[in-house]
Amino acid sequence: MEILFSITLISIPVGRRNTAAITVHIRSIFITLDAGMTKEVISRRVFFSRTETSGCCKYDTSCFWANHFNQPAGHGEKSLMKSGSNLEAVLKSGHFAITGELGPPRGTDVQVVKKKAAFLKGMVDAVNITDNQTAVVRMSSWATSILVVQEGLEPNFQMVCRDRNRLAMQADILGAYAHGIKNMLCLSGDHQSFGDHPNTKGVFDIDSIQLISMVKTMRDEGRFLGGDEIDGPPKMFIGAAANPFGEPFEWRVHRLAKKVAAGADFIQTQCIYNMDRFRQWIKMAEDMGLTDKVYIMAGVTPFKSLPMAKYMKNKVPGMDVPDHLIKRLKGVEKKKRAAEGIKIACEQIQEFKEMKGVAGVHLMAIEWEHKVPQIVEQAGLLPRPNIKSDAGGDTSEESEEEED
Amino acid sequence: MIIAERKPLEEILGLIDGFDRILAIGCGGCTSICLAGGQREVMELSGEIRSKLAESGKKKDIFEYTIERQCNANFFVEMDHMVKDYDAVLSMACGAGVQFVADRYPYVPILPALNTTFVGVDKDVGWYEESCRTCGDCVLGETGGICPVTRCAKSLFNGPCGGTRSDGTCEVDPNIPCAWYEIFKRLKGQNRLELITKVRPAREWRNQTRRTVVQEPYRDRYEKVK
Repeated sequence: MEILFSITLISIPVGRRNTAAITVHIRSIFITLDAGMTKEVISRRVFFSRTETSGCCKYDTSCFWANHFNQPAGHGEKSLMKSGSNLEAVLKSGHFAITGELGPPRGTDVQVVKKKAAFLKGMVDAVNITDNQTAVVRMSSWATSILVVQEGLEPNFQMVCRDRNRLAMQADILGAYAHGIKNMLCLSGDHQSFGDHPNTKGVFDIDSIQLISMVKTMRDEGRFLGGDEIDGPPKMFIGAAANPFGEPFEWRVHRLAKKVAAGADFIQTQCIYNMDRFRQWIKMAEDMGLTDKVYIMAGVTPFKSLPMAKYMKNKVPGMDVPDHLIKRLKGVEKKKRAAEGIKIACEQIQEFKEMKGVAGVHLMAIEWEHKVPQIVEQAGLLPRPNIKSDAGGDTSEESEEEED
Repeated sequence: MIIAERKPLEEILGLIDGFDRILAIGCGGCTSICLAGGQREVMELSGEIRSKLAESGKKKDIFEYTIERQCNANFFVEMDHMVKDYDAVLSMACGAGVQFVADRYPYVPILPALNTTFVGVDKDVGWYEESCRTCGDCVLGETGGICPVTRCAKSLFNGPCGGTRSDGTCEVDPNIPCAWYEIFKRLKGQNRLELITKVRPAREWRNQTRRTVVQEPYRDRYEKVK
């Protein structure tokens, strides 16, 4: 139905109505048809076109979510591009998306960013630029994001609530968007006590869910949190994190629902190792109708070594590493463990590709950016879709329209 | 109750350095109850100061006096006449009391002997735990009587964050329960989880400028004074 509708619209001259969102949407569908739609792509598109809300959870809250999400406008929202970012276009087109991660340097050396970016270019649909991760000072995430744009990669600008109040956050969002940054990941942030300035004052003026809501208000209502109108609102594709493994497990999917209700367009999960538990979580999300509302990207971090796997298991709160994976790494000789780690990651990616409700993977190859091309290739994720050029459209025209 | 701790002796010695006649005043209010600044603690402190000074052959004239509370003018009347005879006043009240003393006797230096730590409760004798950040906009009715501002390390209003450990403790410290894990458990037990299902919007912080409170029955009275 959606496809037919879109095809009839294709005849409308691109420049006339000038809504970039519709144009891009039409193009993306056009491409999928053109490029020879695979069964997988069609099913994912149709999958995202479902409008019913399914399932009831065991709390009274189910009614709340059902009422909240069971609005006819729900999927209509998904039919228009919100930001025009590449990541949004890829997800929307039904391709299995992949994002990477790039940690900014602990200094001013631009070459570090360029070098890391070179490994990721053409390998991922967008790259997360971390924001003082683990509460350690680094080059600011928006500045690094701009460098990444200049390298021809699309950034996913991470923002944590620990370091800025609502004034600074909104100011940085405006600045980031003005420099061509179109994706954001809204996070609470690791607690300052883990970092290199453990006694700094954590800001936490707002929390991650309130940040999501603020970015959505800025984008969709063109207003600041304080209510004033924005002269040229930032059109961000809004991301959020989810940890399917934190306690209380049964509440985690409800917290995901809160993030979706607040305005998250896509979710990147914590690193997944316990596939059984993840499957259970995604099933719960699906039963609550959430996977129809938000693109969920499964977090993957390949083990580089046995000590790293043990560290993840024992030292990182909220991480769930099953014993059988540790055993599997132990079972191969030391110098082959990195390759085994990559093999495990690729097997996971394969499973995610076939898992209902999973729209892509978020590959966090921590300080292992140079391995990303190998992993992406080995996981069969190449080549990455090039939606804008596939559409055969004039990119300059498109970028003009996206300024709307 | 307001909880305070005594400053290290060395710091107090630094504060009183250069003053020969010192009036050390205890407070019979909160700091007395939390065993930091009552009558007994004033005596202990002055004793420690004297013996420390004696080690280096020095001496100061210290007089101890404890009043009912250092946060109400009426309790100071009995000691008003004494203050002018001293070079400095060492207060063992909370930060509010210290300032109250300083405003009442602006001609003499007032020095704090305590660090005011938090608003909290007794866990046991001499053992206290923070429970309120006096944010001015209480959410306890919706969070199962567990304060997310005070007890969550990130003061999240829509928690828990991704760092809750498998045993339900906080990522920051394995000895501290995750506030939102506790909130979840309590509300689940009361079958009231719907309270935390809604997104709680960004709050209007009300503790950013100095606040005053006039209780409703007294509004007319102080309106006239103004």
